[in-house]
Order: sequence, then C-alpha cells, then structure tokens
Amino acid sequence: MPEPTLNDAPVFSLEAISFPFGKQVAVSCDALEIHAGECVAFTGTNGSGKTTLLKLMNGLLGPFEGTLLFCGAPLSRARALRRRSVFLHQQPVLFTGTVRDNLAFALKLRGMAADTVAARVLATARDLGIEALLKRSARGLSTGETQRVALGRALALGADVLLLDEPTAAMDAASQTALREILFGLKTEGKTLVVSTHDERLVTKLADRRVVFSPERNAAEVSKAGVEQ
Amino acid sequence: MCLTILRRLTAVALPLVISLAALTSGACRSAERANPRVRLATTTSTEASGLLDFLLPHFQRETGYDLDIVAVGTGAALKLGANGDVDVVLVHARALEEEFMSAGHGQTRRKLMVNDFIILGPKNDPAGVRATENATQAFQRIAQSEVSFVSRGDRSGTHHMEQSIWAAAGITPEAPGAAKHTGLRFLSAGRGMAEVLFMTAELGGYTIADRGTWLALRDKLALVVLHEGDPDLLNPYSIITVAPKKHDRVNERGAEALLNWLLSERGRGLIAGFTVGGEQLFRPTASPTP
Amino acid sequence: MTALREAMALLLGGDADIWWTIGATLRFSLSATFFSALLGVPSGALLFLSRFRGRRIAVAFMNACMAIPTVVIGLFVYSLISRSGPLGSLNLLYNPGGVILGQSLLAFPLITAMAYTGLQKLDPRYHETLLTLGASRRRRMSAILREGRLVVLQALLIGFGRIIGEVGVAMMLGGNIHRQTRTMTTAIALDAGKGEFERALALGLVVLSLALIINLLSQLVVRDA
Repeated sequence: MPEPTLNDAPVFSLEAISFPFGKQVAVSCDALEIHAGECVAFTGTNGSGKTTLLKLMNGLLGPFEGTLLFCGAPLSRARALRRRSVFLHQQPVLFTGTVRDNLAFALKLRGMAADTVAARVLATARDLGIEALLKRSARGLSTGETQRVALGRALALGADVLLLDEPTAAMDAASQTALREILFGLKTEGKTLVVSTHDERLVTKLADRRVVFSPERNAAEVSKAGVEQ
Repeated sequence: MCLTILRRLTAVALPLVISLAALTSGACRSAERANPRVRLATTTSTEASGLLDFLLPHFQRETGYDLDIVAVGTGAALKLGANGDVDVVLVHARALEEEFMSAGHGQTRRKLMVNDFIILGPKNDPAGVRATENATQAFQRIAQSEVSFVSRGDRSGTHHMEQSIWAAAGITPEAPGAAKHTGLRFLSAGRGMAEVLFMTAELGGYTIADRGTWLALRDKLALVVLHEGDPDLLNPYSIITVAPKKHDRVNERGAEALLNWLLSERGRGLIAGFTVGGEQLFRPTASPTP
Repeated sequence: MTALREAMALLLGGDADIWWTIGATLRFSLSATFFSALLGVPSGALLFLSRFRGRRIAVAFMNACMAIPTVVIGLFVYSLISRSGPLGSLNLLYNPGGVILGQSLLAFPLITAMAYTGLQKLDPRYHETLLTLGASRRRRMSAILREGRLVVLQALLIGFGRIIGEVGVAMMLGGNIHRQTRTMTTAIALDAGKGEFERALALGLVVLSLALIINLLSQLVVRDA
C-alpha cells in the first residue's frame, strides 16, 4: 500500500528548528531524521513540546525557524504529499454522521468513486476491527473506538506516515492493548510512525528510537538518545 | 433667555415624551403662578414652513413668554392637547377640531390664517390634470389613469383634505380592488409631506401638498404645480387653547397670551409678511372668529 | 393599562391591517436573512479558513460595518436604486425588493462577523483534522459549516433579529406604503405619529415578543454548541 518514496530522502528531516510562542520558545530541535518504516517515540513531561513538534511536522503550526523537510521538500511545497501524512489528536474528533460517513469522508476527498469507497471503507473497518460500528453515530463512541475510527479515517486516505499524539491515553487497559496491537500491525506493514506518549509499554513494543523532550520551560532539548531495547 | 424648540420629535419618541410628562405631572403643580413656558403642539408641515421660527423671537420679546414647540402629526397634536401635555394647539383639520371642542378638550378656538393646497404631478401630466376645472375633477382624472398617486395616509390635515376631495369625487381609492378597474396605483405612504413629495417625484406620480412644503422643496423635485387656486383647496388653520379645568398644569395665562398675540394686528401683520422663496405663504383671517 | 388591553384586543381580534403588516415583516425579514446568509455565511467561513494578509483588516472592517446606522445603509441603497441611480431601471424603490435588498446589506456584515467569531469558538481540532486530511478549501468550508451549524443558526437568528427591529431601511426604501411595504416598525412610527398608540402598542408587543423569542433561541443554541 505505501507509495514508493520520491527519492531516498528521509521522511522527516529537521535541522535547527525553533518555534516561538510569544517571547518563549515552545519547542526546539537541533537535528532529527526519521526514515520510512521507522517508529520514533517522543517522550517527556507534559508541556515539553511533544505535541507542538508533531503539529509542526504536519504543517499545522508555523511559521518557525530552521529547516523541516518532508520527503526532501519543504512542507509548504509538499502539498501533494500531504495526504501521505496524517496527525491524530490525543482525543480525535469525528465528524457529524455515522462511522461509515467518517471513513468515507477521507476517501471522497481523494475523489474516489462511490463503489470503490464502499469497498475500501469495509476493508479498512475490518483491518481495525470496527466493522460492527459502521452504522453507529460517530458521537457517543468510547475513547478507544473513537481512536480507532480516527485511525481508520487516516488509513482510508492512504496515509503511510502517522503522527500520533498520546494514542493510548485516557482509555481502559483492554482498549490500550488492542490499540498497541493495531499500531504494531501498521508498523510491520511498513508505515512510518511518530508517537508522542507516556505509555512505556507502547514504547517498548513499538519504538525503534526515542526522542526525549526536556522539561525546561517550553524549550525542549531533543536528544537522539537511544533505542531502549 | 432660554429658547427651546423641540424640533420634529420623531414619532417613535413621542409616546415616551407623553408618558414622561404623565409621570412628572404631579411634581410641577406649584409652578403654576408665573409659568413663563407655553407649550404649543402643531403639525410637522406648519413647523416645516418656517413660520413659527419666524414668529417665535418676536413673541418672546414682546410678551416675555418662552415657547416650546412640539411638531407631530395632526392626530398626535390633538391628542397631546387632550392629555393636557401642551397648552395650545395649532392645527388645520376642521372636523377633528370640532370633535376636539365638543369633547371639551378646548377652551377657545379661533381661525388664525389660511394657506392652500396644490395638486402636483409630473411635467408631462399623463392624467391630464392641467386641463381640469376643479380639484374634484382633477382627482377623477387621476383615478382613471394608469399613474401613481401618493397619499400621506397619516391622518394629517393634508390627508384629511385629500380624503374629502376623493369623497367629493365619489371615489374610495383605498378600497381593495378599487385600482383594478382604473389602473391607478394608490400608495398610502403614512409619511410626512417632504417624504411624500420625494416619493412622488421618484415614482413620477401625483400628490396633493401644502404650498409651504412645496415652496421649500421645489428646487429639488421633478414635479410641477398642475392645479391651484381652487376654493376647495384652502387650508384654514385654527388656534385652540387647551381647556385648563381638566388639567391643573395647563398654563392657561400663557396660552391666552399666545392666542391674543397671534390674533393681534401685530401678529397678523407678521404672518402676512412671512414669505418663502419670495411668495407669501399664509393669509391671516380677516375676522378672527370661528 | 387600557391601552394595553386595547392593543391585545386588536391582535386577538385579527385586525386585518395589523396581521398583514406582521406577515409582510416576516416575509421581508426572512428573505433578507436568507440572501444575507447566502453571502455572509460563506464569507465568515472564508475569513475563518483563510490565512491571507489583511484578514485582520477584513475582520475589523466587518465589525465596523455592523455599527453603520440603518439610515446610512438606506441612503446608500437609495442612491443605487433611485430613478437616477445605476439600478433605477430595476424598479426596486418603494417595492418589497428594495426593502429586502437594503435589509440584506444591513445584515450581511453582522452575519459574516457572527459566523466568523462563532466558528473561531468551535473546537479547533475540527479544522486541524480537516487540514491534516488534506481537504480542499471548499471541502473544509462545507465540513466546518456542518460541524458549526449551531453557530451558523445563531448568526442567522441574530441577523434576523437585527432586520426585524430596524426602521431606517424599511422606511427609506420601502416608503411605508400601506399593504405594500409597510413593516411593523414603520407602522409603529406612523401609528404613534397619528396618536393611535393602541395600534402602535399592538405591533410593539409583537416586535418585543419576537425579539425575546429570538434571543432565547439563540441562547439555547449557544448552550448546545
């Protein structure tokens, strides 16, 4: 499923990034490269800039200082690549309508024909184990279900780079385990995952590398500190 | 000397004024002895003619009274008088005045002066009003043509004059379906004279107006006088002092002073000398009896 | 109190002129709200979605426009649709079309600004989700308006309330013509001038109730949103 990268450039390449928020620095990063198929965990205390950096990497925030390349191109020019990379909120919001509407929404964005949409929605729902939810209203799902539907919405779009903000937070243990399995499956499929998390079991199971965000104000020192395992 | 004119109170604000006056009425009884303020209610067209602005300083200098002028529609002016909110009423609607007197609201009523109404329309006069002999005939011509007629529709003195001409012509233009047979577009505007004149010009239609407002605005209007001088179009003004027995706060002496001054040689001379655009607007009544 | 009783009697007694005026006012106001929303809601959404230079100026401009007195709007439209004006041939002046045009323009900045500020209060995650999914601006607009439909409804209610209570535009462009362009507010102005306070009061009660209902509704809407 993942489209071949345009070149051998890393999926993300960050250099001397500094994002100001007022007079303070909300997040900074000296250097970071993430390659296709890698899983990188962002860890650190709350307010250390993990979410901010994820959003920067998805072009949801800006402007910033430094260089940030997505597949070798500056983000602003990487619009054609945009749908390959999706950011998921800690608590994702779903659009009004059914679960099916939400999955189909992404496919309709790609201008897909109605029958292909139906097939893809079903396939994605099966992959994520949310087939039974398709007819349900997107409102009133549990945290775990919502997270999975949001993930499905991104995957249905064909995204192969996922920026996940605390995906397993605020859900019960069973849902956490199920989600970890799903994310692990995505990794083995070759998806690139960048995950901000406090969930050490997720880090242990998934991450190839760990990036630690320091608690000093908002300024985050990002170390290339090591693979845990 | 303080000189106050309540300029053209917007009609919306009027009820407020009236209720305020009612609220404060109890408080100002003691001022009766030598009340130097006289309150006069009159119609907007009278106020717009400029006559009162012209008379006011003379009256104040010669009698020592202050004059407050409230300019509203005829109906509202009489209502102010009936409520005792003003001391004198200067209006031009005979039937309503007689009603006012017989209801006991008025003390003294005198004919003060006369001006006249004119029928206005577009220069090309599609209804052929120019050739008619009297106002009634002119209205009949208008009713038979496919033209617009803009009515004041606000129960003003001008509106009453217009209605009496329609009645004489045997036409009820307001009646639903009346226009179907004739093609007349009858528009009851419910607005002041100046607004109605502008609407008429804009629509290329006909209307009836008092000469004063016409003279003041004629340079701005694409209208011409099509009919004038008819005795039916005379507009007699009455001055009425409000009966004081019902309302302790009415300034009876001040009202009398205003009435007497206006009817005196001096007052009548001033009225006759008042001109707009070089034309005399009002003719003081020769014998000031009702 | 007798005036109030007489006013109620006029309303309940089905006075034909009064009820015609109420009907016409609703007709004009609803049409004007509709046309105004047709332009104002997308404009508000565009202001919200776009990050163009001068957006702040545009927002400030819209806010400033809300404060324009109705008679100034009336005057401006009058000069457009008067016989000697550029749109004179459309014959809108002193017709319902003129009133609706003027009232649409009156409510346009209000509805735009209300839609804009309302959408800004919406959960920012909706817009971020649309952005991250790579939705086009058109898609984002339709999706965000769908999610913010209560905000839009509130903007419409407030626009409608502004229109139904205004007198300047209706008077200047409609001419207060009996059974053609007479609205509740112009009729109130007229009836008060005629000294017919019961009639004015009857319509005043209707305007007041409508204003109350609209405000209650828009507060309910806000609470739900």
